[in-house]
Amino acid sequence: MNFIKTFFSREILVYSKKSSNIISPIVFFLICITFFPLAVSNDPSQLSRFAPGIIWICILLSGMLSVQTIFKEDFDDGSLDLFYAKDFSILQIVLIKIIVNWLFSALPLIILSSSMVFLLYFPISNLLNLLSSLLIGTIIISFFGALAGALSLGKNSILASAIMLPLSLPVLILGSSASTYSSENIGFFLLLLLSLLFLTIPIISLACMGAIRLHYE
Amino acid sequence: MLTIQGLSYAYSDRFLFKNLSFHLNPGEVVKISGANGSGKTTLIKILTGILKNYEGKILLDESNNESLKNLSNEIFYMGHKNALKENLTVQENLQHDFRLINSDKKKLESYLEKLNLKEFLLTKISELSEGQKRKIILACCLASNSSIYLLDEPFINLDTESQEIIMEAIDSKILNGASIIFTSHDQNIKNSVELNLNDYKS
Amino acid sequence: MNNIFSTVKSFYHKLGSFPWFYKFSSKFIPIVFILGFPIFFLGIIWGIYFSPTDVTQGEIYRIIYLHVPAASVAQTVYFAMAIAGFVYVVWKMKMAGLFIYAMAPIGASFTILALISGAIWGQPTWGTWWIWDARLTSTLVLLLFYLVIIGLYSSFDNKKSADQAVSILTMVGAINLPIIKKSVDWWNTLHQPATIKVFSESSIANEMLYPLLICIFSFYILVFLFGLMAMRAEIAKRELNKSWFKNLVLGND
Repeated sequence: MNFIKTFFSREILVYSKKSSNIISPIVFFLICITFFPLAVSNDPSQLSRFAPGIIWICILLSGMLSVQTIFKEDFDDGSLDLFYAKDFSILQIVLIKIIVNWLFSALPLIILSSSMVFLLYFPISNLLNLLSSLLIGTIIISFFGALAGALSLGKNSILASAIMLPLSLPVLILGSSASTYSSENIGFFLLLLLSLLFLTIPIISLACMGAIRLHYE
Repeated sequence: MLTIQGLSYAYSDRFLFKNLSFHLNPGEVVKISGANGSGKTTLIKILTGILKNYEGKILLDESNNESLKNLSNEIFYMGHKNALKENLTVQENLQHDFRLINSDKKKLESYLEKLNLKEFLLTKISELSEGQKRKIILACCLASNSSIYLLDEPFINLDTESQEIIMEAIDSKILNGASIIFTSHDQNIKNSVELNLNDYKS
Repeated sequence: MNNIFSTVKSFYHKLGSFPWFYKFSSKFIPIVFILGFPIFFLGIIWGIYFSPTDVTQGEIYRIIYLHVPAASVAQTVYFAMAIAGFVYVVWKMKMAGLFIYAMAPIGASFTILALISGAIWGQPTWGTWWIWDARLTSTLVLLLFYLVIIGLYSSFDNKKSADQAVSILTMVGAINLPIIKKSVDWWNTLHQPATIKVFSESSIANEMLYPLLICIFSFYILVFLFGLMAMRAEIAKRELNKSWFKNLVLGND
């Protein structure tokens, strides 16, 4: 218990001291969002139709920036060695790191995406659907990103994105569908996302542990 | 208290060392030496429990403990890398450092004082020199109440003045029954037994 | 009963040994070679020259004899790789890691063959090279997974770590693929109420079915052959400096 608390506050401290961790996904997200209307169309009716997809793609891409470096610093500076030496539970470390990373990189984007009601003429009636699907979906994406980052520790970051993006495809499909359809189908897609979340957490946490371990062969 | 029997380790099908055996009693010091790439760091990592796929036996107190894991609080590990967070201050790092779990806070304060680190407590690690970073870990090491110390290149980048302070402190630790295994190219601790990994090549 | 179990167990242990596999497979390769290619040509020639022309699609349907076997093999190879990944992660069997490494490029090639032949077939029959249908999308993602596996493998220097990493990724991908397929299905039913039905349920005439089955069978034999050869090549690469390999190659054995 004491370990969890100390480790949690350590992670929070590390993230909050490095402001680029919070700011760069936000900047990237806003740039992406701005470019879509300029490149595709500025017609409000078309934009509001594409808005869920645009928001989801931008979230996925900006999530990609932060998530894949999740274990990198601890691997590079030797902290992971220390965790293995001290025989700490790697499962707890993985979960805490994913949660803290989600808090700092995904949560601000979810809050920010409610402003897309104005920028992309996102239908306000669907806003709750969008936010709830983002809330579940970004957690799943964080898990996939952590796995990609763990597998490609010490390798180039393009590889990590290449691993993470195909894995996140179901989340993208289900999430953007959930935020497109306002009325009867929303429950169906949210339920699917939720079951995907419960499937993801145990499997990917285990896979992450194995993936970190293999760098110590 | 620590017995190693027939330890071998292979990396990518090539043996780094083979059939390594030695015994360590409380208050004894072993210096691991050898050419670059002879597996000094690897051996420390095996003893710490970081690397697992070795062959041979590592026994504690002649009992059947496969590794030192059960006693991880009795072991102080100082790696090649410092495991300090660059964008946190010294104090913040020390507050969250898991190496200090089994240690004496007052001793830590006094060693930080002696090693001229007290004034840097609120400085970010990224602004310190390599030698200063090493000294922070050494202060943690000296403040620790562990019984086995596994130190990988502990004295690298140190000035002579700090070296003297640290050597003195380490000597008194050994007198109190601590055992040390360390790697180094040039520095030495008094009365250490040398273990040359070049002799255990396959 | 006990006897059967011990036979299986000893076979499993032998399978895990590189020298045994290398020697054993060398006996297999000529047989598979002699068996595989004639069956393949039998199926293809039967399909192209002797099976009847399709009433609705005309001659273009004959690409089925390439497309369906390739698509089937592409999926099966991935499934087999995922099982090998599980074997590697649980029992650390070296041969399983080698199997994934050897099969990934083969699986990727057949996936590309399936995609291209599907597009060529699709253009005249449904008037488009590509539609975002569940089968097509999941095959495209399957290709992505193959490529990522190959990329991840090549980024490691240490074979052990590479095998472990690729095994984990293959397994996670195998869980993911059906989910992707299913979610594209759901998404599709909402987006476009099925205007094009890609694979109609209509039953295929026996004269067309037999050559198709022969083609599918021959593709599996050929994949088995290619797999064996790729695995032997990789064993040779990894064990180049081992004494058993030198003895075998120099004929001292």
